[in-house]
Amino acid sequence: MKRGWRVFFACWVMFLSGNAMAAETAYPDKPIEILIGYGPGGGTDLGTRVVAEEAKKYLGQEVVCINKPGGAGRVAVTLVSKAKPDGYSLVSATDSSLLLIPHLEKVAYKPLTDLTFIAQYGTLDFGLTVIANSPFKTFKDVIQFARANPDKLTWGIIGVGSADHVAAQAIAHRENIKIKFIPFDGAASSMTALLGGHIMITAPASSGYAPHVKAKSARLLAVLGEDRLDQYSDVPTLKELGYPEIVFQSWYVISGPKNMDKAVVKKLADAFKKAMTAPSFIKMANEIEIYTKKPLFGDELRDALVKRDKTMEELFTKLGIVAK
Amino acid sequence: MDLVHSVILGFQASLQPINLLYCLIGVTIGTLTGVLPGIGPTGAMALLLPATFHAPPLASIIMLAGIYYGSQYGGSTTSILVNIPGEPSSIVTCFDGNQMARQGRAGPALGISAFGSFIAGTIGLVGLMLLARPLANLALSFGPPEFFSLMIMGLIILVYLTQKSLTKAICMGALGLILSYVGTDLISGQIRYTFDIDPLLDGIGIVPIVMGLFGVTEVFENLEETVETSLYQTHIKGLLPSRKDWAASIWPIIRGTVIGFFLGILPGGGAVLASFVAYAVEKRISKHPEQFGKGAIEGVASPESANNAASSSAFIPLLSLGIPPNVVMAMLFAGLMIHGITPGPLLLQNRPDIFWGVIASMYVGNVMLLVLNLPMIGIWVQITKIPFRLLFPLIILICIIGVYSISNSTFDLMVMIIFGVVGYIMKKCEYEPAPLILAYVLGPKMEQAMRQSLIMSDGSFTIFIVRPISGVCLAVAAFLLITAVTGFSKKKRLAVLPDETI
Amino acid sequence: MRWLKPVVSLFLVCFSLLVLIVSRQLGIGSVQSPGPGFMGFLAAALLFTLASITLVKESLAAVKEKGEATANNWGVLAKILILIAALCCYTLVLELLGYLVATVILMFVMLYVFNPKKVYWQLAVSFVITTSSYLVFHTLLQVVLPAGIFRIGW
Repeated sequence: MKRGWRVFFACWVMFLSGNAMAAETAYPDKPIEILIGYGPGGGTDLGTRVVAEEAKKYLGQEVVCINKPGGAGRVAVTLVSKAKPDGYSLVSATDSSLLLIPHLEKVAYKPLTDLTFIAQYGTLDFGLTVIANSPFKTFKDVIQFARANPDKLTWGIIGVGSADHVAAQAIAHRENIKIKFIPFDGAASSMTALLGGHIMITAPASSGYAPHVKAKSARLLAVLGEDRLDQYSDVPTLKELGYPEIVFQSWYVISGPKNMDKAVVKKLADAFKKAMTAPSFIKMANEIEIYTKKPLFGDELRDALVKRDKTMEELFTKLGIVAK
Repeated sequence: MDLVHSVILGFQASLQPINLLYCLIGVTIGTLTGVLPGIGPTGAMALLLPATFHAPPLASIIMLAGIYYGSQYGGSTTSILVNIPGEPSSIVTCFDGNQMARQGRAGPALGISAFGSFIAGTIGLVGLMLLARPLANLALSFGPPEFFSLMIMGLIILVYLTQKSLTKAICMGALGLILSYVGTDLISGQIRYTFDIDPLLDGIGIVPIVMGLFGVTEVFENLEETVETSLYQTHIKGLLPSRKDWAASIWPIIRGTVIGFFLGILPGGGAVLASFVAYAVEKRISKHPEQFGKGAIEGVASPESANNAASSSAFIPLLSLGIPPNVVMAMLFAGLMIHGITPGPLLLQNRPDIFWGVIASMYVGNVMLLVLNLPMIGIWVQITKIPFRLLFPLIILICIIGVYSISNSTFDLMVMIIFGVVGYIMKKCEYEPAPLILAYVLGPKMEQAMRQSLIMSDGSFTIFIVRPISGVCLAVAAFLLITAVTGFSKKKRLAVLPDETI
Repeated sequence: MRWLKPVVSLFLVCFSLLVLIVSRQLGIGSVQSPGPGFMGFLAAALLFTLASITLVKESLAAVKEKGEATANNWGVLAKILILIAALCCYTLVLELLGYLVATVILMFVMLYVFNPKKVYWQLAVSFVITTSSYLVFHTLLQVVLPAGIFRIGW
């Protein structure tokens, strides 16, 4: 009977092992895991899943995406920063968790030193949005109103310390105006409030404003990125309007723990780069408006992020926002 | 008539073989995710979303939508059979549904739940077709003060949920509120009550709590009583609702539909709140409120209709305004965007085929679900005959998988176990879990709305009374509270609140 | 067990006290401008009040009700405790051992504790249930389950 059990157990293990027994020494020799720092259905989730799907072909292994939402990406980033740098544990998050939040809160990782940056697969743009029949026709009108009526301009922000909040604070600081910030838990809530006339202006990401601007129930006064957006070429950037230091974009970045092997990083970056040329990825990225024309990889990406982090730090110091 | 023409157009599209196939797949998966406690439609949709890239747009949306409203059908199955809610919107169904099962009436309970869901889904669709625009505008007129007052009204409802002591129900409500504030405070950005435990950054999570309080606790309680035999010894009396059942249920179904339909449009409201409110309303206006909690079929018919109506009306903000009112709709939103379809006011103009195709497919889907669910009743009822010592490991396993699948976290499993133990002890001391859940669901939105409103009004509380909708909600809340506690007739008061009030 | 109710009420009182303190630390703000701890403070205050009243009532009732020791089925309660312990251990080892190994053990424990006979049959049932759930959830429904260090089946 004992022998019977041993045979049974062995058969069971073999039955289930399938091809997991094939041995290879080159990277990657087992499935790669990407932790997604947000819940399903959002830009991070969709973008990562499509990239992973396409990158499979170039890596020869499954790329498994697991949602690990929490703290706007913080939980996922913390977990991966502590993982083994063998190239099988990656994290996909926006630079909210990489650049913004570490300046505002104590986080369990030092983003620029505890992580290896591999690929940028998208950018999120923000746009200053007002309701279609709003009396504000240009951004100047908004500033004038705020100056004449301190504390009366109701500005919807999505989470304290988020990119749009910091941008709005920077504007307020520059122009010496007082804005009444009303926090919301997401673009859906703030856009609902905007369309219902409960707030006057808000600056959501593209997925927030796009449907309404296209439907003409809302208008964009300005965009917060480096350059004008292709889809809305008649909307000026804040830079053009005279605020060159207020440039905010959110980058979607895939990273791994620090001290990853350079060859592994290159292989991953190349795979992701090729994945991003796939028509299905381009289509998806365009539809949800995260497409970026010049994505950055590896060391280039790292340098760019370091630069942005410095700018962020200066801006925060100027505004008097300190880490708690 | 333009409307008739559009509807016909929609049916022509939705009855095409490929769309029928995707619809069937969607509602089947939806029912499955609804039946399985813990696993919800969001997970299934997240997995299938990338798969829809290569499918035609209408078929993809039909499938994803089918998963959502299908899950509202399935959620009541485990609620009735084993007192474990398949979805948070089926928690209320446990109260009377399971009692009916223990009386051998699982069949009628499941049946009225399926029929009620069908009727509510269908009426909800009619409402969606005819009232989309005006209701969308109504939803927009709800600003922070209106939400606050609505949530307060919702919290007062918990008075009607108690079967034992009112004091203890309020205690559980307060506890639920406290638990709901664990995590990151949206208004100030501060992290509250987490004691530096990272997984708590986004809060404790409703699914582990519900699975613990209703699933694990239930298993412990039943283990105390019976292990050798099956749960319910009584002879199974019939598989479908009787004439009497229908007579008793038809008005609750209609009331539930109306309540669910209106509450479903509001962001954050949705099926859960709708089911609680519908139950409380039935108990309040019933001629025999003391029957609730002991197997009153109205207590099954109304909430089940409400959650299905809410899932139909949740499409209104999405399709007409382009604003997803909850997480599931957000996924549908993503699905639409990927196919280049922008939901919103222009959807009707630019892509009427999509708009009407989806709506027509929902009719088809509801019929499919009824056809799917009814024959299954016979099978489900047999499950109650399995000896508990075999059944409970399966229940625990499904709860574990359900909870783990949410964010792949064993921390969530620990939370479930803790709440299971806590719930078990609490129940022995006559503290009930339902008020805790209601407060937990409403807490964050209520607090957020209150603080947003106070920022808007510079600290003045009159904003809640001066704005008409908000004022009305508060008045209704006050009315409900006062009449429940003092009562117009002693009999009614004692029935709504049981003897041991304090 | 007649002291169970007062003990639970006492726990609620202490818990609400803790929340009151933490809420104050977070900052209650004012009624016009509530801080992060405001609602938590209110809810905890409510809980504290009601739980204290309940505590007093139940303590008095427990003192009066002396004598009758109801035969508690300690046997079943002990088994339930074992079940709780098994679940806790499962949570701790799940990601280490992987879904298949950990679940088979858990299933067996659950079946055996409440029915200490037919060991082999129960082992077999554990294997069958675990494997079929693996096939249904992991393979068919693509639910992510932990692979563990043995990576059986992954």
